[in-house]
Amino acid sequence: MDIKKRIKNLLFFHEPQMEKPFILKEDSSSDGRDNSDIEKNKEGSRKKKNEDLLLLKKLEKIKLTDKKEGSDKEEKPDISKQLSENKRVIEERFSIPLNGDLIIRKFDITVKDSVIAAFLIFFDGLVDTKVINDDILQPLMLLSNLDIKSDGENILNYIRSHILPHNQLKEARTHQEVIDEVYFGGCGLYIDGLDTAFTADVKEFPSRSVERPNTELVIRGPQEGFTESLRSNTGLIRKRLMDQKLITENIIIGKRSRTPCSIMYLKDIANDSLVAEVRRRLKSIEVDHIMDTGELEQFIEDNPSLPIPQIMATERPDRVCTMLTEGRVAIVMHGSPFALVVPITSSDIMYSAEDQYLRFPYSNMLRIIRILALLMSLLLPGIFLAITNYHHEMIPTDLLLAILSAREKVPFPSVVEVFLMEISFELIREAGIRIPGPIGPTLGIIGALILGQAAVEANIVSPILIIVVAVTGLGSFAIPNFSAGFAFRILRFGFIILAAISGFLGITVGLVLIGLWMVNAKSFGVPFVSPVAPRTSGGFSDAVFKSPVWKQEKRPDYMNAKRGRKQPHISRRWIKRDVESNKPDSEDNNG
Amino acid sequence: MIPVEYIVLIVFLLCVAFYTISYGIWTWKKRNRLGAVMIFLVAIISVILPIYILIFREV
Repeated sequence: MDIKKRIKNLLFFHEPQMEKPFILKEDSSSDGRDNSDIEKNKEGSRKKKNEDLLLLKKLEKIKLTDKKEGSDKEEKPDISKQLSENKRVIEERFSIPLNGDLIIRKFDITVKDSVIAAFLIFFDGLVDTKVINDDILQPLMLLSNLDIKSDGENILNYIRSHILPHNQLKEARTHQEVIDEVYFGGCGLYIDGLDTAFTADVKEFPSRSVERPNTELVIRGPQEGFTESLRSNTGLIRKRLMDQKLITENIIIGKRSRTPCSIMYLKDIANDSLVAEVRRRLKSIEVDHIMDTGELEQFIEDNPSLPIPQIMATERPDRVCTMLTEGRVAIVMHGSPFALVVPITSSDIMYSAEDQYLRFPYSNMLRIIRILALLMSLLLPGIFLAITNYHHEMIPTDLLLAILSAREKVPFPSVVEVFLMEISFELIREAGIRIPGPIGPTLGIIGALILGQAAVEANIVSPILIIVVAVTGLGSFAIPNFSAGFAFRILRFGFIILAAISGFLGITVGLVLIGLWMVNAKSFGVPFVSPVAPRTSGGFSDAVFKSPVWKQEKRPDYMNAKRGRKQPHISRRWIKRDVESNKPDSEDNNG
Repeated sequence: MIPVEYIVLIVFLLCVAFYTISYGIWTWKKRNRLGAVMIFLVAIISVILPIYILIFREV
């Protein structure tokens, strides 16, 4: 029966049962159009209004479902007025006395001539003990005896308003809230007779300081990189992007790890439906533990089978800020020095953070070099194979003879030779990463010089192939995105196989397949090859070249940001001699 | 006498054409008549052309 069904499935076409994918559409409150465009579109304004209303309704629906989801997940207050009961719950949840690093400090508070028992919990190693001693325990144990003039207040308000001087004091109604805070470097304070606990942020994680980013080094531009601390990372972003509309939403991922994450976006620029989609995807993740944004990326990406990354992972706060100003959304996770930015397009993975800081002729030259590097990294070994095996007529006869004479003593077919060298190169690269620091460069020298030289002299590979593999390797190192580098390395092997089978025909088939794959892909509702296909304003020139900073007037069209314009038509006001520099211009109001 | 490899290839091509035709029927039902006709055409050509080249054409 099963076999019959399988044969039927193979022979007959079945309509795919897919859920409607998320598509990033223009926001209802968008002002992304120019005034001239609005004039042109006046005729179709009624139709547009209807579309806007529909979109608004959809957005409201999304917001409602979000609220509903949130309210479903809200826990009921479960903190007891009995201190002993609360202590029992805490001991049970933290597996006390098995758990050795949780500190439970019992003490008495004297409030208004009455002595109340209390206890404080925190993890040794996650907190600043000096802050706990000076700002929590000392006021509660010693200063609570002071005669403070306050009548008619309950103990909760009295302690909050008069006794605890800590700057980040929160009230918690559930044990889970307290536990989350304690795990995130806070402390929990339970007081007898109160069904509310206090939590205070006293974190002092063992963490490294802000250092230069390892994978995205630049010469011109900021030299700070993210660290493993969430608040330090959000602080690095906020330090640069001093915009009052910058929102940091907190979210917890992982049923057991309860890893804190932050979604960051500019409220009046980022598309609401994009923010809602990011929130929805993050909230819907069901996993026990999550350690890094590398894992998170795999949970939320649109096309897991596409080798090219569809989410930007960056360790540069300045890059995140630039992307946030374009209407994108950033995801920062506790414990990861990489922030994720969504959505991205295929052109974003070819750009370095430095492009924005360099003068436009320099960055355009670098971009052209990078595109050449990409093509070499992807196709060069394949083209070498295609030419030497199938299309001899494509190269000058002298060069062909030189290649053939170099290969004369090599006993393997050229495809085996290419594979041997490519695999050796990947081995050297992988070993270079794993080997401890000082030995790494030595290994490179051994691999590149000695091994290469020896292989040629032993007639295992031809010298021209060493040049091909070396140029391919250089090309792959010039790709600025770490994940994209992996993708092109994998695809390169595919092109080698295709070229070995059918020369340029195979390479063309491969390019067409990758093209189809990429055109079909989306990154959070944005077509991956925008602005080329579908073609939006700017098109190919925006995807490849960078215009001068003063001409970058609009945000990317495919982002469908709420505010389409970044700066007025004339941002260098000084070129107009008749305009005073401080005079407000109607164009300044973003369209 | 037709070689066995040719028969295997023709059976494979027929399976592909069968699948393509079923896709054409689905397209027709979706009221994309022109698309469906073109799919039928592709299905038929993809069977007839290789069979003609393999068996009837003398090289």
